[in-house]
Amino acid sequence: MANFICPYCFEKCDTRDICFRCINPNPSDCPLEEDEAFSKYWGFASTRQMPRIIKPNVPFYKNRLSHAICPKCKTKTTKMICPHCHNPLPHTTGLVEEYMIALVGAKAAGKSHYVAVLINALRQDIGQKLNASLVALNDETIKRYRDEFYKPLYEKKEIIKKTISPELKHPLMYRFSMGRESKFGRQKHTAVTLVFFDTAGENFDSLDIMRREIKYISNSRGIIFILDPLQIPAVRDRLPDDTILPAVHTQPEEIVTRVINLIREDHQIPETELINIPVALAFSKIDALCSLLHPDSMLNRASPHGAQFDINDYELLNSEMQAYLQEWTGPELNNIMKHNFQHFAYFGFSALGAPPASDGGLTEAVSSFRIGDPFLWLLWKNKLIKGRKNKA
Amino acid sequence: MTILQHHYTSSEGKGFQTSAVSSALDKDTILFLERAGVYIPPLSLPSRPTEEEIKNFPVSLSYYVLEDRKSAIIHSVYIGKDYSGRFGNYFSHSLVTDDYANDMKNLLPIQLWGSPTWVTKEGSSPELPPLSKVEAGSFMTWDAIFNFVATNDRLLRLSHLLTAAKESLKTKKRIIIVDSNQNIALWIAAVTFGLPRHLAQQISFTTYTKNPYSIEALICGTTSDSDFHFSAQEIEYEYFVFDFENNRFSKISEIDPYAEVVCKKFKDRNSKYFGDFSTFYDEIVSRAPRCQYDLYSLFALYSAISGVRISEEDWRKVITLIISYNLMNLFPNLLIEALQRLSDIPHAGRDLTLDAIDLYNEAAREGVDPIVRYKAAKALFSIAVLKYSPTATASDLEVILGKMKQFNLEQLQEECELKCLELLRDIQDVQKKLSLFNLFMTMRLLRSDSTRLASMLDHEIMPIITEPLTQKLFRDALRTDFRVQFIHAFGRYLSGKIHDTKTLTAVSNMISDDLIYNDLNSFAIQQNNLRLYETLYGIYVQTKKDKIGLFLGFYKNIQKFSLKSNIEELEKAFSSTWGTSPPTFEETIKIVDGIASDDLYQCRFADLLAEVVYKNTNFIEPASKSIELAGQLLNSLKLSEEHRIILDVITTIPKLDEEREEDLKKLYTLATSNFFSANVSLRKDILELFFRKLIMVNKHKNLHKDYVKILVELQNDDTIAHNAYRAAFRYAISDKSSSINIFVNCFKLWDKFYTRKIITRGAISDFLYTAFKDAFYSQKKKTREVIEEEICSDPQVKKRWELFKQETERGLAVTINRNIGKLTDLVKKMRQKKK
Repeated sequence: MANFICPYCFEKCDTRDICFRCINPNPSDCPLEEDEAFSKYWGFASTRQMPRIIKPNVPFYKNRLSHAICPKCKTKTTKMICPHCHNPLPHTTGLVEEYMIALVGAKAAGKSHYVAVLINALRQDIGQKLNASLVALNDETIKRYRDEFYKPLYEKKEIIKKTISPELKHPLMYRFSMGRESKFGRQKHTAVTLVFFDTAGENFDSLDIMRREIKYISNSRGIIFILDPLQIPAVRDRLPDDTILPAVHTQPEEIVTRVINLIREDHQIPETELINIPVALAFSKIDALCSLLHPDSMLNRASPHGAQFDINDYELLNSEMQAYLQEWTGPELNNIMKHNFQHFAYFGFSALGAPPASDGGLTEAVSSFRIGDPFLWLLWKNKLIKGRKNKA
Repeated sequence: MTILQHHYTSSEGKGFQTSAVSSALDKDTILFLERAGVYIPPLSLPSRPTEEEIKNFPVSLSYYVLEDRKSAIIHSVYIGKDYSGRFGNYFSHSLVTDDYANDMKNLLPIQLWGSPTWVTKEGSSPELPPLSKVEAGSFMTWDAIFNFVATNDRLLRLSHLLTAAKESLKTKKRIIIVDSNQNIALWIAAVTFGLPRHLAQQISFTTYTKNPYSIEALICGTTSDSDFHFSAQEIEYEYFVFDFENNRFSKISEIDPYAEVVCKKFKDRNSKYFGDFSTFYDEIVSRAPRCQYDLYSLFALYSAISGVRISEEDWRKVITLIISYNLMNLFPNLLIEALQRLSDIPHAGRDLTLDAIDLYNEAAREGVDPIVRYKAAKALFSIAVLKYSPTATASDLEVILGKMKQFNLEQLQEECELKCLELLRDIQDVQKKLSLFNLFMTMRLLRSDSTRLASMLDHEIMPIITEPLTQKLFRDALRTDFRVQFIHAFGRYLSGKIHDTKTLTAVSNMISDDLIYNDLNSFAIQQNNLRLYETLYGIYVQTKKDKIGLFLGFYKNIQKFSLKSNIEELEKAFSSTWGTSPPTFEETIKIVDGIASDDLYQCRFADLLAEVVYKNTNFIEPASKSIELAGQLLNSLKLSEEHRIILDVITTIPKLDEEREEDLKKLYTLATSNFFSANVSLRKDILELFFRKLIMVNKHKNLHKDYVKILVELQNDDTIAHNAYRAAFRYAISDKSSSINIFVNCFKLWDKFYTRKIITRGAISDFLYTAFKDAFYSQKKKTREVIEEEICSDPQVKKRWELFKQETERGLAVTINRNIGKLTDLVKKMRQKKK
């Protein structure tokens, strides 16, 4: 028996329960049926007519089926859907492990920009270093990434529009395949499904909204917590006068507290136990803080991670960022993290490389730095890549 | 008025959120409005637009029907940057009502396009008061829509769009429109203005969405660069796509007829129609909601009651509508009007007629207003009888009539009878005429006592009574109240055909029918039509077995006619009844008993009856009935002399005194008279009777002797006489008490003629060696010995007796000896052969 978590409704399901949707296009051959679960998921006031759902009988010796035959029209279909919410599942469901990566952060912290640049980097230089490929698992992912993330940043050279909170989004789903050389010199491939959830910062403004809109956090295999340093009063005070500062939003401690409460609530984790989801706390917009950083800051160095995760670099950066955090905000956030999470680390990055202009245009081409560090740390923590530590 | 409001935008420092709301709005509805009001601008428009450019961004005016009878109209517009300077902000203003009809009056949601009610900026208060009224925009007018659809091929597209919209309401298959934002609003307006308000208010729509997949509006306006894939499968099967910018359209195989109506009205710029029809439609649908999608049928019904002449096909739709949705009970007044219109249609075909039958079937149900039922009956009569039947083929008409037979349209009798009769008169096809007539009777459209009917029967039906179909109709009618009418008409018809053998033959099978005959008879009697009565009797009696019963019935009935004399009719009837073969003896008895003596004595057939009587009489021992009949018939004035004598004999025999020689002689004289010479049997019987008396009565010994002498000498070759004597002898010796005397006496009387050689053995007159010998040897030995002893007591006779005995016995011994001799010779021959 194999289990998986639906990337839409986050129900834990048995792969033997996976349903299929008929793909016969002609409703006169195979009449549509009202799909209550699907309509409920998407919040439709009326039930939508959808192609027929097929619940195949899975032989006892199989974990899942790769296709089913529609009993009505006899059409063969490979379109798998969740048995609970009836949303489409990636074809890799049940075959490879799923890693859901949640992006958490206040409004305008830079979550969308982070995802936009990270995915591009995974397809480009990080991918090359890891000997990995990133392939979108469905059209929604392709279209959403292209229209909402890639085009504005890389083609129109402008910042990404606000993420609209009430709009239900399809998660960005990719097959992340990495080639590794075995001890005997053979190429070995490891594939996982990466699911990125980017949501509007407004959704972190109350636990109620989080419970409704971002249930995925509890089910994620790693959280990247984007912290906007420009929201920190101590930082704002020290920045040059001509720095364009964003409006003040929700404090990061509040969001972290809500995330902790949500995870403990969902998994019924007592206060005495630590949460074992690794959390990467990443300061965004580091490019705006150049004047506040030490000249020999790790943030001024390029990320050294290659096919293996550079543990030395990570430890140094983590210490440095922890020190900055202590300096700028005091011990509160770190204390909260320490008392609630088994694994957490601090990072800093810049998605754009330079602050945008006041009209939303990019002043320079996207030149991110250390964008991959939090993500690679999560891969390392999940043992998807190996770590390398130099004995100095 | 409870129009609640909701604002949603990215507010200063708080980001996207519900910025203001009416306090009565519940959480779920707010959540819905937040989602449904999402605005993402088209990709192709500037991503960092100026204020001027923003004015050209599409407006999203959406309308949704929510649960609990709530409706929401959402107006979302792009407003560019939010407080943080980031693009992507929009302002969504929603109105929610749970009683659309009251709160929005006659406004359709699309009429809020450009309405001053909408705000696009945050107010100062987070609390929004419920609105007391909403104001329509000035743009969406009938004229604007008429002008819009009048250009290019938009009317055709509108018909497709309306067809799709109607389908969408039923199947929820959604419509995607790609056009300019304003045109999309106009398309939606054209569709919703074209439909009755009730339906229009069920059509959810949005004038713009970037992602049609994420919303549930039936009509989604969008742009070419939206998230919609426009795949071939989507265009062909999953959606109704109307992409006016790229000319991509889903195929609409058949345009809904109501869509065509709407387009025509649009073309005629007839806005009044839509208001009137909508009022009508809403009234109907409020009580018969299931018929809400039968737009065209409702339109046809509306047209019909508005006085517009609609086609047969449309009437069929109307009838189906009425039946399917029980409109008869729900809207009796409307139905009365509609049925009146239906009655007035100029032509009707088979299908409409069948539908009218179904309609009446429905009207005949319990609980339907009697006036509606009456009108339905009238419509059925008008369609099936007056409009359809004159042009229908006989076989088609038969089918229709078969379905109508169950109906009772008596209520139409008074006003429709004349029309029925006129129709029958005008129809030439016999089969059709008869089918219709049958129907009229069955449905009680004709009064059974109608004088018009009588006339119609005389002139239309009876002239074709020889046709098998007519005869079937006639027989069917006998089982109805029309029986008397038909019988009388038939009687009248036959009265004129008494001498028409051909016709009488053709209808003889009907006359022979007991049911018909009896009634016809009554009619003939009632009409005092003796000729008819006789004709009917003549035909009827030929086919029946109980002739005597019929004959006597005839005799009985004939009394009812005022005739001076029945004799001639009686004789004709007798002749018709028995023809050339006379009645049986039993029938004769009944005839003589049944017919009054005065009549019987005058009838010529009494002579025939006399013949029957004597031929069935045993003259030697005549039965008392024969004697009685003979006695009665002897009074007849029409007897032949011959029969009179015979009957006289029959009546005389019982009176004979066997002691009186005179009587016996009279009998002999009669038997030997010339009269009986031709009647052998009769002569033999009378002679045997005579010889019995002669042989058996001792007193007549001498007379016996005389007549033996006459037999031997005068009648020696009269076989009949000798046979009669021998039969009488055999009869006489059967009485044991006197048989010995008779043997002795007869031997003595006859023997002397052998002695004198007057009789030779083997002659006709040979009595002793034939009847006597056989009778003697058939007696027991003891009896024979007594006879011998008696005969031999006279010595003279004894010798002759011994001779007789020797002759008769020796004859036997000789035969035996001869046979023994032959056997001996045979044995000898055989022995010689062996040697």
